[in-house]
Order: sequence, then structure tokens, then C-alpha cells
Amino acid sequence: MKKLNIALAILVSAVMAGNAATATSGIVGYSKISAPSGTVAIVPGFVKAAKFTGTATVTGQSFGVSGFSVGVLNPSAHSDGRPNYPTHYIEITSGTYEGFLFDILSNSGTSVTAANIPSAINGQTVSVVIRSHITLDDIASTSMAEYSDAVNLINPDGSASTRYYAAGSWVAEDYSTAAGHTVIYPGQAVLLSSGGVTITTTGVVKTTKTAVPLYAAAVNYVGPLSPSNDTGVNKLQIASSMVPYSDGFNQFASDGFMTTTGTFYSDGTDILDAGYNPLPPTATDSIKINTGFALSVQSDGYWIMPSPLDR
Amino acid sequence: MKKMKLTNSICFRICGAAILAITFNTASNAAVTIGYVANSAVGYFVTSAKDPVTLVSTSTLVNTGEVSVGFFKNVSGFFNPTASDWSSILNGGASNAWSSLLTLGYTDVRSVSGATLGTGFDPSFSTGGTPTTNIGMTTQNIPFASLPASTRLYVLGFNAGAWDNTAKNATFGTATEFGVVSAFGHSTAAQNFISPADGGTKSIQFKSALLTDSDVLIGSLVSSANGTVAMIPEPSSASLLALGLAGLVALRVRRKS
Repeated sequence: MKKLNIALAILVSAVMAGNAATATSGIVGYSKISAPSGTVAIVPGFVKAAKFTGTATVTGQSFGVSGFSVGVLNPSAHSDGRPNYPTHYIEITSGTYEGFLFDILSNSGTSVTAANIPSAINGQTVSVVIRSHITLDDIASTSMAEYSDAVNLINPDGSASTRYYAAGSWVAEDYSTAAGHTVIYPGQAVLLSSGGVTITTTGVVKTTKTAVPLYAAAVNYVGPLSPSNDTGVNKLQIASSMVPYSDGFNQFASDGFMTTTGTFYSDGTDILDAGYNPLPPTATDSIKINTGFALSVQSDGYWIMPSPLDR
Repeated sequence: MKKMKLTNSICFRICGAAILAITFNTASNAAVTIGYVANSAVGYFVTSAKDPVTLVSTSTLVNTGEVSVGFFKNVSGFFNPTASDWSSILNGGASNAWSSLLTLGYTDVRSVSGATLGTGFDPSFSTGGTPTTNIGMTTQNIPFASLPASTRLYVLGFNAGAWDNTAKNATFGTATEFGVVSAFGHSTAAQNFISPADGGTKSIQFKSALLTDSDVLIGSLVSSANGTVAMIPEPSSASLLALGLAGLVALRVRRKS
């Protein structure tokens, strides 16, 4: 993939007007992605601006929060009648579970309820951020061909869900069910097949870690959140998330053919090359901006991905 | 009538678009990657002259020859050789094993059209015979159509010969020892030697497979925990050994009498 325009990153440290108590902006910008004809694994490099930042006390599957301003996250914000597509998530931004995010199932003015919150943090007060999800609509482009250009999202069980571009948004495999609100989780790659398109993504640069889930039953298409630069394979900080000599990932050429150009393993500490030799610190192997790689793991786990600001 | 025309028009558009979408999808290089690694951390082939007490001794390591990773396919499709097939190959001896395997339908993944070799590719057994010697080989871009997911894979070890990637064949006919391993039927999919889903990588090693005797098709399992498998010698060598032992026994009987 070729980046047409360097991300316009503007440091906006000022507190956003109107949400003084709950949300601040970060490094915002946009990135133009030029997808070649064929298939490419795309990773949106940004996340949405925070709707709430602060602390929350965990009780079971709920985060007790205070300070929601009217209109920031009202009780209906989490769902608009499409329960299978959560619109917002709450993410822990410090401590042992930094980067772990949870889809918001419901909320009131003082708490949000999610699922799969680790019992280890029950009763703790943690730093959190609430954002709306990046969705397929965020990568739609008017240059796409209707009912032709499509994306495949790989599910945890290894199956794929296909979404076709149509009328400025996306539809499901039946060519009719609206699917533009399909979530693209931070660090998740989608496989875009097109005749060659340009996509503009916008958002803020993530300043904290991201826990990217990895599934043994699937080939995990994932990638770094990095809207302005390629990311060195040695900078992924993924070696410790891989079972030594067993888990491996493929890097692809940006030719639209998904040609494998590199295969990497781990010895638990360092990344190994395709010959199972440690990759030297000077190695230039890198994941192209806004693209992903295919990771195979032998057991479910997480890749704790660093912020692009910490690489 | 007008409505029908409109419906037909939409149908044609969607069908046409679907064909286009399929075209785009097939334009991608549906392929998989197969890796094999052997060292003292993850296991390796040892010679038939193994010494279980001193497995880390250089004398037990194979230090000539290479490994091959592949699958079996004939005109009927993918298959797994029977016990009878393995018995026949075993009885044919190491020097005939490679040609017999090819005749049976063995395909080294490197010979699949479109497959490429990864950086640092080194399938040869040790150059020095030290226990930390690393064999690391990765074959990329194996078309998915040629190696669909969950196809059983086999690791072959020969103590002589090498793969010629230009001729897409090997000179393993000079070997005097060989072994074949294929972990299969384990409850954990990760332990089985099977090909990955499209786009995926399968890194094969003996130790994490928790090998059992039934996984070692030619050779003998020395240690499942260490992932060590002993090659077996040429029948002629074995015969000589047996003859030698018989001679010793006969001599002892004769002396006693």
C-alpha cells in the first residue's frame, strides 16, 4: 500500500470546549491510504476521540463512573437498536490491564456495563477512556465500486464475514442488510478487495497500549496503529506474545496479491526470521503504514501493542 | 413489467458485481507458509547410534544430510500412507526411501509451483554437530489450492544428500539412515502436523508436538519431552549388526560348550 499523504498530525493539547470535565483531544489528523487493485490488509491507524476520560471503579461487569456530561454518553449512546454491533467501548489506560477494552452493553449516567471484565480488577479503581468504535463506514470511499469492492473480516472461529460497499456504506453477504456499523477493533486488519481505491481515515493517535486479542482457531489479521510511519518488525513488541518457535506471522507485499515477503517467529524474547535466526536490531523489515500481517498462534492470547508514540 | 425489468436489472448488477468481487478475491495470492525448526530447545533427529544418556553429545546428532517437509497426493487427491506403505518403505532401506516416497506420491512443499524460500532458509543438519545447531527453514507462498488447510504434513530426515531447488528434487538416495515423523490425531490441533488456513503459518517442531510412538513412522522416539527422534539405519547395516550379535552369541555358546 502506498501512502499518498503524510498524516497531518496536529497536537491539540487544549481541552475540548463543552466537555471540559470529561474529554480531551490528543494528536489528531488524517491519513490517505492508496489501496492497490487486488487484496490488501488494512489497519485504520487512528481511534476515535475520547468521549470520556477519568477513573472508574470496577464492580463485577460494571465500571462506576462519574462526570458524564449531558450529551457525552447518554443512556442510549451505546446502542441504536443493533445490539450485535456495540457502538462504544471502555478501555483501561494504565496499570496491568492497560490496553484491554470492553464493548459497552449498556450505560446509565453513573456507570457502564460491559462483559468479560477480568475478576482480578474487581473492586479496583482504574483509569479509563470511552470512545466510539471505528467502523467500516470510516473506511468507505466514494471511489469504491458498488457491490463489488468488499472487505473480509476474520472472526475468532476462523470464519470470514464479507461486507460489500454499496451506496456510501456497506452491506452484508446478502447484499441488502446494512453493515456499515461493523466494528473494526483497534489493531484489527480488514482484507479489502477492490479495483484500487483511495481511503481517507481520520481520528486521534492512540497514546496508550492496546491489547489485541489473538485466536488459535483463526489466522489473525492484525497490525500496528501507526497512521504516519511504517513500523519496524522489531518495534512491534510482539515476541513475548508468541509461543517460542511455534507461533509465526506473515508479512505481505503491497502488490494487491498478498504475496508473502517475510515470515517471522519468536524465541520468546526476540523476533526470529524465516530461518529461525534472531532478527538483528538493525533489521529493516517493517510493516507498511496502515497495513496488517497474518499471525498464527497455537493458543488464545493477547498482543500488547505499544502506542505508536512509544516505538 | 417495468418492475420486473427493474428487478432483473438490479439482479444483473448484483450478479455482475459478485463476479467482479470473486475476480478480485481470486487475484489475491491465497497461500500458506510452512516452517520447520530443530535445535536443542525444540527437538531434533538423532542418529541411530543414539545414546539416551548423552543425548546432548555431538555423537548423537545427525551432522550431514537434510530434512524435507511435505505431503502425499496422488491422482485421487491427498492421502496418508498406510502402515503397509511405511513397512514397505522401511524394508526398502534408506537408500531407496526417497525414490519410493516420490513414487508413492510424496511432495516436498518446496516443489509446489509458486512456493518461495524464506530468508535464512537452512534445512541442512548441523555443519558442526553441536547441540545448539539450528535448522530453520520456511517455505512461503504455497498456493492454498495446492495445500488446503488441515492437510497432514510429514517431516523426513536423511543423513546424506541435499535438496536441489532448481531441479526441485533431492539427492537423498545416498543416505544410510532416515526417519519420518508426522504428529497426528492429537487432541490439540496445534500439536498436529497439519497445514494452516489461508494466509496462516504453521511452524513444525518435535517438542511441542508431544510426540508419541505412533507419530514416528520411520525411526524411534527417544524422548517425547525432549522432542528427539532417532533415525534408523539401512537394513544392510542392521543386518550386519544382527549378524554380529548372532556371532557373539554363537561364540559364547561355543565357548561354554
